[in-house]
Amino acid sequence: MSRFIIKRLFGSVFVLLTIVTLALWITRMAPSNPCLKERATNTCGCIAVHKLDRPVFPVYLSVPLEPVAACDAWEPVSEFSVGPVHILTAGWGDTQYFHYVDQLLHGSLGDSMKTDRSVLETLSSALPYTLQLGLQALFVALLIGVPAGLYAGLRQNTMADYSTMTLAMVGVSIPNFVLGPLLIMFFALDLGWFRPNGWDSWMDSVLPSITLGLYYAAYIARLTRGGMLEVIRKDFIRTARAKGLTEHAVVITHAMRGAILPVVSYMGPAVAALLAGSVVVEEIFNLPGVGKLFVRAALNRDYNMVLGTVILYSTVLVFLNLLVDILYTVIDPRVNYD
Amino acid sequence: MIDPQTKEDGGAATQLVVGTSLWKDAFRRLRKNRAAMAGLLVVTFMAICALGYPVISSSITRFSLDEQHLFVVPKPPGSRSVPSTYYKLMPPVGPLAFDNVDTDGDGFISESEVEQAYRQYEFAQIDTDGDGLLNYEEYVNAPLSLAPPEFIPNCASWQIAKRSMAPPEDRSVFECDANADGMMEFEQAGKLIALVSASEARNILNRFDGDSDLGISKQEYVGLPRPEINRLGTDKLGRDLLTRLVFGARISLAVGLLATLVSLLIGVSWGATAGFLGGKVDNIMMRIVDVMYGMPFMILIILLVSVFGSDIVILFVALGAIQWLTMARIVRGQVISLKEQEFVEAARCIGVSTPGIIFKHLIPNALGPIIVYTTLTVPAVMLEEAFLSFLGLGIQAPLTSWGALASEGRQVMGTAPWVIIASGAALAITLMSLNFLGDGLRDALDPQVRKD
Repeated sequence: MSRFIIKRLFGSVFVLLTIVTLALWITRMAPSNPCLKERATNTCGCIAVHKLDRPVFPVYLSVPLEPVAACDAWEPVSEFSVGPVHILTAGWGDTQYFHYVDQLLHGSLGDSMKTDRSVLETLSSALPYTLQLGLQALFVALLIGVPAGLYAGLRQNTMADYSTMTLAMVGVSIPNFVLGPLLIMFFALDLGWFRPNGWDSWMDSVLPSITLGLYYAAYIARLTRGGMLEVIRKDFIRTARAKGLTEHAVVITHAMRGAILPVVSYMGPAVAALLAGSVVVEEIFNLPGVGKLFVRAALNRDYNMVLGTVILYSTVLVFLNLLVDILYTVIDPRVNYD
Repeated sequence: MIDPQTKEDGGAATQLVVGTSLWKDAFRRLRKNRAAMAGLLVVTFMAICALGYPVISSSITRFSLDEQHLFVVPKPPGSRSVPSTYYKLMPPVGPLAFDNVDTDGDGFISESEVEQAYRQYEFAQIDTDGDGLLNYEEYVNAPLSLAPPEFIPNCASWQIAKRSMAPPEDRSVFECDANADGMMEFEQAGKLIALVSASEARNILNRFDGDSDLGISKQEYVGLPRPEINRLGTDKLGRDLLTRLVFGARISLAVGLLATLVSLLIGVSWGATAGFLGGKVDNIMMRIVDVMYGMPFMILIILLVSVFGSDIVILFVALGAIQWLTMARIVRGQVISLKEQEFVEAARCIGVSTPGIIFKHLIPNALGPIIVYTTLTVPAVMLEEAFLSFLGLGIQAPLTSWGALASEGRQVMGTAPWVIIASGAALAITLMSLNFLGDGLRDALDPQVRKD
């Protein structure tokens, strides 16, 4: 087990490095210079601080951004031509990639390009909202999804089964960005039970959590039902019944474990989708979470901020996936990774 | 599978024993699944609408995608506007005869006379019993093609008047009913009716004013464009919602299908190659898939389109490129179980090349699961496109998609809830139909549940 965890940890670091490389490359290849517009007074300083005049990798064809005439341009170490291709090189230590990873290893995500706060500071003030939203949504999903799936699975091919599963299909098919506004229209604007946007108290997180969680509730209901159908015909269930256990005990202590397995393995992708979903939900309900920050930064071309968010999301995702794999061995003793 | 169809044919003993192919059998199963068939029907209907957009726009809704009718925005479903491109002319007879429209009798129809003619037209439409007066019932049931309140001194807009409307016995709430007799004459109600704004009236005038003398003479007058119903209302720029919804179907379905095609190509080739070659190659290829499973692709796509701007081609390639992982896994599993069978041995014996075996022998035999998963990928991709468009990062104007429409609808949901309801319903119904269809196909093709 510990060998598996160590192996997976190395794998996770590799995945994270890949994502950082990819995301850094994408943001640094952006055609527009984020230092040009709002910071017109201090363009050169901004470029120097973020090292935007440097190449991203040591071997390159051109620096990503058009050099600004008024500023000192970065000089390449050497240049040579292979046929029509003009290749420039720079020392590793001078590249943006080295600079960024170095910064990362020192526990910093750099400074925002549009505000004066550091990325880490901004993210950590937004993270609690997103975490709470995500956890509450997951709670809603499990609380509704698992019982509904068990209920339908135990009554296969009855009216109860069909209606629950049709309802689940409806839930899977309504996008959260449609559900959210509808909930606002009904519960906030018409009935006035909740506030339509903002987040000051726990009440304000109710509608967003339901909006985010309902899709997963429906999906988990389908998964649980499938797992239940698979498990309920197994011999060990018959044995449990034969030795005279109550139906309740059979379902809760014996069948449930097997029925829940597909749900556990779905948790990894579910968390990934929850992160993406929270972007939309935070946008709809105007919540000050990471998702809102991410969209605003992406539209504002605050590339350091975007990069920081991507790294945060990826880290959360990669380690939750690891956690799910470990959880799997706990729930299902047949799974052995070694 | 042999199905001796004797019972159905009245037990005729001489009946031949007819075999059914796997596909026929699957189709029979699918036909029995009512939800899946309903899904198929809805998807077909949406596809026909999407394909028929030019015809629908020019001869059913009669509004073009971008024409704006800005006088009263947004208009609720059932209101009327005068289309500017695909209009049909109302013949110059009756109330629209030249002399009736030219109220001041100077031989020319002016801008304000065009406006007035449309007011009278709309009044006649609202006045269903044709007595020249609006009673309470007609007032309440009127389609709202009305001017905003600031255009009507001393008289609230229809919406406000309706909302504060007391039961029929208390007629005094007829806020525009100046003489308080419970009926509204055209002189009172006409102020409320604004089918065309002054600038729209000018445009209509210019269209028929061949000699540019700012008036339509009797020779030039051929009638006026007929107002058409905005069946689903208009959006905040006064564009016909139904037309935009049908156009959105085009983009949403196209992105769904093309991105799925991209994912199909990558996933099937990847999975089949890995499964067939096996060993180290398989190991490495599937490890790559495993690693990619853990990546937050939606976030990376948001990053990609926000940096490079979104182009519809980038969009479906990017969306397709993140959907192929599961397909690769499914195809690999199928291929591994198929490749040991005799027909592959036979193909190899007669000298078929490796790609030949993969694409001509293995993939056709793995087609069932591929079809099922493809059907389920389409709604997933459509949802992702809608998601991006909703954030303003997907389809950009002048194109529109259901996601983009939902995004617009969300901004005006307080004043115009029909925009988000209609676009959300279109999206949800299509996704649901595709999901039901995919589930039905799985039940029909999956050998495990084939025992009924």
